[in-house]
Amino acid sequence: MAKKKRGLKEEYNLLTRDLDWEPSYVPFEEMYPYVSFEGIKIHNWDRWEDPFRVTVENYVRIQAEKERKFHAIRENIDMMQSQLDLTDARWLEAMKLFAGVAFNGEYNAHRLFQYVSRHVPIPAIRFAAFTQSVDELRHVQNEVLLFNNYNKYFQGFHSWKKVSHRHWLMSVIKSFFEDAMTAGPFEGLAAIAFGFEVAFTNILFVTMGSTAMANNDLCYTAVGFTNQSDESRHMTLGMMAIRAMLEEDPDNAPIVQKWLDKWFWRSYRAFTAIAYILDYVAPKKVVSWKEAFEMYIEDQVLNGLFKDLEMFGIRKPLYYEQAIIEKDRISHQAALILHRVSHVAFFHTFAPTAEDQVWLEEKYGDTWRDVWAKKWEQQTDPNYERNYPGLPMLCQTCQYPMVFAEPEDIHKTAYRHSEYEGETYHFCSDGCKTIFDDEPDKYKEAWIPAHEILSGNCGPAEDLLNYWGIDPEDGGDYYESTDYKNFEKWKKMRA
Amino acid sequence: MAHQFQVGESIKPLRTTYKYMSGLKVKRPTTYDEATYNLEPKENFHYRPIWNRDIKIHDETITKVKCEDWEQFRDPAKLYYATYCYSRADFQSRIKGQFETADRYGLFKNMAPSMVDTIREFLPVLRHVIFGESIAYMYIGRAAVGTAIEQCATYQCYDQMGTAQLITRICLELEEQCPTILKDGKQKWIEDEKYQKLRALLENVMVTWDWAEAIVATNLILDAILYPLFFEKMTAVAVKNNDNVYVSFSEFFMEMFEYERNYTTALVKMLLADRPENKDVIASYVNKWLPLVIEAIKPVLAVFDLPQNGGNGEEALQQVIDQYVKSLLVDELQLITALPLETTGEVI
Repeated sequence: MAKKKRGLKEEYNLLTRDLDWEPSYVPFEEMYPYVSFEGIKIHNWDRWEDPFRVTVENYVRIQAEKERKFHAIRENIDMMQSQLDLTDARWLEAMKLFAGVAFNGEYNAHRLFQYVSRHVPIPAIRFAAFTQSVDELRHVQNEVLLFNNYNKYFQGFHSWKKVSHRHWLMSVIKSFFEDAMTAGPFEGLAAIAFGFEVAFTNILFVTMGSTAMANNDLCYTAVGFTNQSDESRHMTLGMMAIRAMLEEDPDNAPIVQKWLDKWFWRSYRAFTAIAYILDYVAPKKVVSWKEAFEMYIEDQVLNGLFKDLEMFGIRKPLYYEQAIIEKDRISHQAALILHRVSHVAFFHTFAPTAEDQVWLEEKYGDTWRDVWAKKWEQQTDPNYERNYPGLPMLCQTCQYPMVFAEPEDIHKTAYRHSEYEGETYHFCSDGCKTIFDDEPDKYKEAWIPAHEILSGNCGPAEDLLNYWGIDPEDGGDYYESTDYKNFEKWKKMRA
Repeated sequence: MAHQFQVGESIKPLRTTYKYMSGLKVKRPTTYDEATYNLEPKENFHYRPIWNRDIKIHDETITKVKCEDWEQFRDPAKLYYATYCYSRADFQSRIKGQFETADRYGLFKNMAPSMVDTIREFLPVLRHVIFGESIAYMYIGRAAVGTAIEQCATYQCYDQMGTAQLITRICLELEEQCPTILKDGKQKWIEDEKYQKLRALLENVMVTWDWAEAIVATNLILDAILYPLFFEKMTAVAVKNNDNVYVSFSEFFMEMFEYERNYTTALVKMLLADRPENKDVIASYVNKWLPLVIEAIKPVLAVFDLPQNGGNGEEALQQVIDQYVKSLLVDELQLITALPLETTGEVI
């Protein structure tokens, strides 16, 4: 072949950024109306490279191959009734939470990245962002299809859509993604591609994945592995986008810093659910939240990623010290409150068994003995009123129940508040208060479930469970549930 | 792993699918239905977009058309992510095979100079047209309501980027005869008088914030003329120039066009059936964009009239309009009673 010889880089350029042109019949500000209001300054729109050199051709080929494998596994899991191989169906209480959180999260990320790709006119970022949008659609569809295997045999999955948009606890993750979707295009990109994906998804897919594997959960393992294979591209986009903004103009650094502060804290709070799953729900436990936090957040993110960004004038995210202090607290705080709300939950909760307690003591040592074991003893006393009266008070920003302790005093619940336009808003932490104070007009509009219920926006109180998409058998204690009884019976039938 | 069940013993599922699937009006949901239906959030939004406080995160009022239940839409091709990838991976394999064949027989290398001269006139320019449409579809995907609708827009957007890349690769094959083919194409797109109405039109499509209008303008009008003109009518010109490689690649473009045309037709049918007012709205989209598109394409027809092509651009355009625009918009969908062909000469 006597074709013109050119490097891969130049050819890739012709397949991607050379397609673009500067509009002249429509003003730039009309074509890209949201590109400047966040204050990010970009001088050279053409600078960056996609290290993966993704083209449509190689994308569909690689993904089709992955999809063929994944769907073969999915069908096999169904045919083999692999749910009976689980160490204990209790693990599925984690998967019910995952369904309520992740399906909607992935779908929203899909829509967010359509928006980012349309409105960030940096060719390399745009193409990578749109490819991520397509990936996110993949993730939600595969999760919905795969988890139907569990839905067929267990409670708590059947109405995940209602649950994720109406249930009071799911407001945590719904508000998280809607926060990113209502942000400007650069913040949306920084929020999800960096704040969420780069900083936190290793815990979601690697740590949770190995825990799922230890509990013979073929579904989550299958989804975790195949999603993770796309995540490497997403993390690269996150890093590329942050560096791009920081390298382009020193004035961008304070804006980016603010986003990193906000989205570190927002992601960290959202991950409380994962802490609960690793330390409590998993029948067979692999890594504690504290260990996972030290490995991934302290070592890799705070002392790794943020070190690399120091040269641009970026410091560690605000209140990271509090996250470190909380690492031997949050899973217990979450478990204690969830134990008390199982009558208004779409999943079952339970007190740690004797076996669980041995592990928790091994992992959490003194704090377990001095604080958490005592609280469990109190809370499982037969005279203790287990069911929480009404709904717990929620933080205006992260929307978790206000159960987190003062950084300096583990016995004292932290309360923060702000006055705005004559109203008082309540927060679980300094991190959440700071986020509100920075954009009160945005956060005052949060859809706070308890308020909406009282305002009559969720139907009559006696019909709330139905509004949330909950059947009577969905909640309550795991060890008294039909899920538990069925699982035991099916295992015997199979043996 | 393998377990033997006792005769007569079985573990029966409690249900076969998610409860909300009963809301989809189909007899028995398929995998496509389960993967698609009802994913889009509809209620209890937390915040207003800070970039546009007038709309909700997913907002039915961005477009003028209305629908009782946007989730009822079904893509006739029933593509969800897995089948989309299978279909397009197969598509890419066929394209690869075609490039290999062309290479083996030197089809690009030996293409008649008259055909190379024809192709360089329009193909590298279409590369930008289709890429520009893909940017419009990034917006359409985000703004559209109804999971199945935005899913089609998403795939179309990715397809369009793929099509722009395919055109690039075809042009690269012709670099030996025409080393500056891509550069010249881009220059034509930016500066050549013949293409400026088309570029103005496209840039206006890219800022058409009524997403249903943008879909109609592109899939039922602009592409319904552009694709058949350059990937169907142009094949006759290619044959006249003793070329068959262009012909063999043309079908790939027409396949992409058929995907977008089919789902858009289904969408319009659903909207017309949903409420009578939609007819006037969609007809207004057609009445606005059809004359503009025709006006923008006319100057480009000159390529058919080149001496080696012995064609008649106006005639080709008329045939395409009859076959792909009139047959659908007037005859099948009855959106309009006649084509507003008497253009005012007005451009966007």
